[in-house]
Amino acid sequence: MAKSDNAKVWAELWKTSVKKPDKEADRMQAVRWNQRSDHFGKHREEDKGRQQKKVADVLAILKDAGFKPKGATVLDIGCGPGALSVPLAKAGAKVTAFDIASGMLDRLKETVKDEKLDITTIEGSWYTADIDKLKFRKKFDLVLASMTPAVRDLETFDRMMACSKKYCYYSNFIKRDMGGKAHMEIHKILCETTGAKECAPVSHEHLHGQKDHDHGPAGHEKGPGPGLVYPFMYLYTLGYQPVIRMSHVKRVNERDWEEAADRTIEGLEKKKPLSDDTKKKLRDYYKSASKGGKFRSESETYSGMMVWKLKN
Amino acid sequence: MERKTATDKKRGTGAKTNNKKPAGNENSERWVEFWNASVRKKESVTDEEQAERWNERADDFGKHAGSEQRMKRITGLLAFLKEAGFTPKGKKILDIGCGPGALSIPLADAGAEVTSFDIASGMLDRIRETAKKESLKITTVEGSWWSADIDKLGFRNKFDLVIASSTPAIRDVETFDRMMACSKKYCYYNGYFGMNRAKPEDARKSLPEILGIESGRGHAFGPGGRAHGGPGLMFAFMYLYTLGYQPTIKFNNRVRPDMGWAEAVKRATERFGRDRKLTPVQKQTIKDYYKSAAVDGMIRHEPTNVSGMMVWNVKN
Repeated sequence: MAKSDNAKVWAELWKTSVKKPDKEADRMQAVRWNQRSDHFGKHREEDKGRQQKKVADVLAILKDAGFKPKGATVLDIGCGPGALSVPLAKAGAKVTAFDIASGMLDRLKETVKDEKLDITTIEGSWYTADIDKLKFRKKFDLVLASMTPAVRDLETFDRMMACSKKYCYYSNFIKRDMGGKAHMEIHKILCETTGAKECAPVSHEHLHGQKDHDHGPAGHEKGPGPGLVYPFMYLYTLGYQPVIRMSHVKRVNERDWEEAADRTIEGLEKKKPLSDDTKKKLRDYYKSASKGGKFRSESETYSGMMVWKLKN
Repeated sequence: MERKTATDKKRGTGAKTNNKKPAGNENSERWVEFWNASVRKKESVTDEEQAERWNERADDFGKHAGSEQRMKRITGLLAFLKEAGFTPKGKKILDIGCGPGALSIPLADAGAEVTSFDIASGMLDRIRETAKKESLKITTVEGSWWSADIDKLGFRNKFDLVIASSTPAIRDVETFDRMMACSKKYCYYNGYFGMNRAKPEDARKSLPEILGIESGRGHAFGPGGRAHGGPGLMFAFMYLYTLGYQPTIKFNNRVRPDMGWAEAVKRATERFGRDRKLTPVQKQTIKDYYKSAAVDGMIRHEPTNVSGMMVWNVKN
């Protein structure tokens, strides 16, 4: 893909900046996402408006770039339960929804059946996808990779581009701070009370009802760099001028400590049951960390989305 | 193009003026928030401390580069500027954080009228000496860019080209906007694009860590805020792009050549010894470090320090 010297230098930096692929971790991707597939993207009433706005923003930037969904073929990489696949199909697109987690696709298939949408689901890992066997190469009017760890490096990014004959959409975090203090405290309590040798980190979703993308492409705050900047700069050095939108969301969540504790416990118990001792310690933590009975959590997220039209 | 139209329409703004701060839009505002949130607290170093630091280094700064290396850098810079449409002859240039004049001198030599701005009088003394010796048109101005009043200085909208090359003088949106406000046409910015690189679990600690010394102190307060790791260019570039500019950019992959471990020891000892007196234990540590890191006697440097230069026309 890299044609100019500039793009080559950038590609090189990108390559050396991402984590080395880890086969075991890759294999676990399917397991992890399947574990979450029942609840992922199911929004609480209070969050529904926000979610609708997100989708509207994506459709707006696509429109700005000149994409029209009606009759268009769309590939949605890492589609999850279909947050974008569904509205695009409703707007008249013929969507191929690709995901590593069969559980996510099962949910999507249900929606497709209920609402009679033109969506084909394909289960697979984008890390190892053979786009020629899949007959994806240069096939779609639009290829989407929205906040997905499926596109995580130069190789998977090039693979995404190779499937499009016209537009691509990519979005990712630039920086996020999910209020790590509570996260660490809870992690500590779990380690101490369960005596596990390796304590799996608590996902943010369990703590804050928010998504956990710690395997995203260079996108995590602990990762090697801002997730949007590598692909953006790569495109720029290739001569593209993507349409881009930045977003900055700061949220403060205050709720009764008991409710906050219950939510965390409930979330953790989706994975495995907790002992009474662990539960008590978690409740104690929430109680002690709250002021006037209210537990406060803060999160701050910078993210960006971009659309570009392929040169022929 | 599409992006420009979209932003202009959205904000109802017309062409940018270079008399004031660039007209922002929602996108650039989001990026500015991110930039501001990523920069270290300003109070952490004062103008005086910064002046003192650079004056300490003024005698030797920039003397390590060989003349061939310097020549290559300058030829590259001139070619890059020319590509963007700029030739130095007869032009007014402001060089912010000029140091001993690595760019000011050759640009004056090529026929420009240069104003060299730096916080360290010791650096400016060196420039004046050279300017006198070679009869170059260089005016030196001592000051801190962090608190510079460009109206009092008569800098606003005055220069054909404003340069900020690998300098901590530009450290945030404010100092970057100030730089742009001095130009009536071109700006040139050179900086690190170095990312925080996740180290593998078994990675060796870096030498400064082992020695317990602060490294890269000169640029510790550079754009992005972190010692040499601050992705200064990323912030500046993305800011320009969200404002609707399309800077010409060129990345520089500074791969240091492989070298024998003894040579690496010599260089590191010199480098770390510049600002402090190394103890015999520290010297031995450096030796052991490179000896054990060598493969077939050679030290390979990883290409992590990517820097870039960019030029843009403030009126486009």
